[in-house]
Amino acid sequence: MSKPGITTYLRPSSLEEAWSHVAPGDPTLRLLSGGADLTIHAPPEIATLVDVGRVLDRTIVNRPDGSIWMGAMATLTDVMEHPEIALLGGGVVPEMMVHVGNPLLRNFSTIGGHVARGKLSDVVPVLLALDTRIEFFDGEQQTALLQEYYDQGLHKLPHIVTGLSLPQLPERSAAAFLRFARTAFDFAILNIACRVDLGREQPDHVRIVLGATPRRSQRASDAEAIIQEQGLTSAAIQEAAVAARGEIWTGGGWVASSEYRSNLVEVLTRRCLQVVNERLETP
Amino acid sequence: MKILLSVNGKQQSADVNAGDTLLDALRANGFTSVKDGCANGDCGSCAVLIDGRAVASCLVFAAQAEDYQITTIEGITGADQAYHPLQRTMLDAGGVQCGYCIPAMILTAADLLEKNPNPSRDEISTYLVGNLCRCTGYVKQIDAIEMAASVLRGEIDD
Repeated sequence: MSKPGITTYLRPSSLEEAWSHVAPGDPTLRLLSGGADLTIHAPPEIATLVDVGRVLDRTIVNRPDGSIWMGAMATLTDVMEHPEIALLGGGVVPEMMVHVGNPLLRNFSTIGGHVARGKLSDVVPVLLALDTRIEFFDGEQQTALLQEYYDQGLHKLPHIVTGLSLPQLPERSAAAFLRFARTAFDFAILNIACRVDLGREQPDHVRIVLGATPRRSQRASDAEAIIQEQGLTSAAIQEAAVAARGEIWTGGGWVASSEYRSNLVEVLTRRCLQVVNERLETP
Repeated sequence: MKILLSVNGKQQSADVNAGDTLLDALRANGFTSVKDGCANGDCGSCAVLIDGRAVASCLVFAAQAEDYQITTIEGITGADQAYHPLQRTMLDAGGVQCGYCIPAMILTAADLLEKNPNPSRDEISTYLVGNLCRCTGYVKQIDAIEMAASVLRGEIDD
């Protein structure tokens, strides 16, 4: 349906030209990459779209350091179907991505636009659990951990997301994604991504990220520390699940109460870590 | 604003507003096989192929589509107006009732079969998750897509 409030459509031909529109921080202007969000949920104050489709990259490439770089214009389908991304952490990316809308949305929605939006996302917890780096332009090319991008409020400053980089995972690494929603089509009431890299005996890297709380994703640091210290024993998993429940803020609303979400934090943390453990034990 | 759309292999000029979706532009230019069901990304009736991938045209701004090849159901029919195997099997299998969702469903199935010529019923069902049909129970349509896949693989005649 046409958005009558949108009166100007700009199509820059260079990153610098796009930046010249974005830099002043005009609240009536919005960057457009895929567009799925803006066609439906454009805030009423938006009058100008800056289409960056001709400026940003859509390719997904392997970098010499073993990381996989995704151009901001790569579609969610491009990411989901990439054969090497599909193997990361035991297949956590396609496992998650299949829950994001449907093919008719994933085939045009971009990873850059999705991350810049960041809210109500199944994608962001998984990217955070994989220690994804983000690259963006704010007059100069910048890079940061995606975690820093959100935690330091960089996502709220004028910028253009140019790409994301998934680091290489160690051989003994597994990840999992779980979500709980009223229906398959609905936004999650709560979701979680877990990742554990095994050292010689104990986990040497643990990520537990809960999203749809309904705020932007949060890491359960206390729970991560328990798994890192004690390993993936049944007792440690249970202890970590209880710790996650204690440290993760959950909000209430018409979809779910705060208490309900809080209970889900414990349940999904336990289940997610159990899945990771099973994957690590499977040769 | 004037934009240039490439639809079914032909370039044509379209006069659109900055906030118009591709769905708006296609219907205003005579492509009424692209259905305006929910205009909210939920029903899938407006799906078209954009560079060969099925996309809900209500989720794309019209001006964005300038750089892509758009295909509607008219574009997958053969040059001699012969039905595409998906159109033929959809009729033969009884997959069409009111018909409203069918053009989009066929285009989504065409996208699936292009990348997966031999999908399982589960894979067909999963790929059609964004195409709602309120008449059927999807069974006949999945039958039709399985049959079309066999035709396209040369295993049975059209």
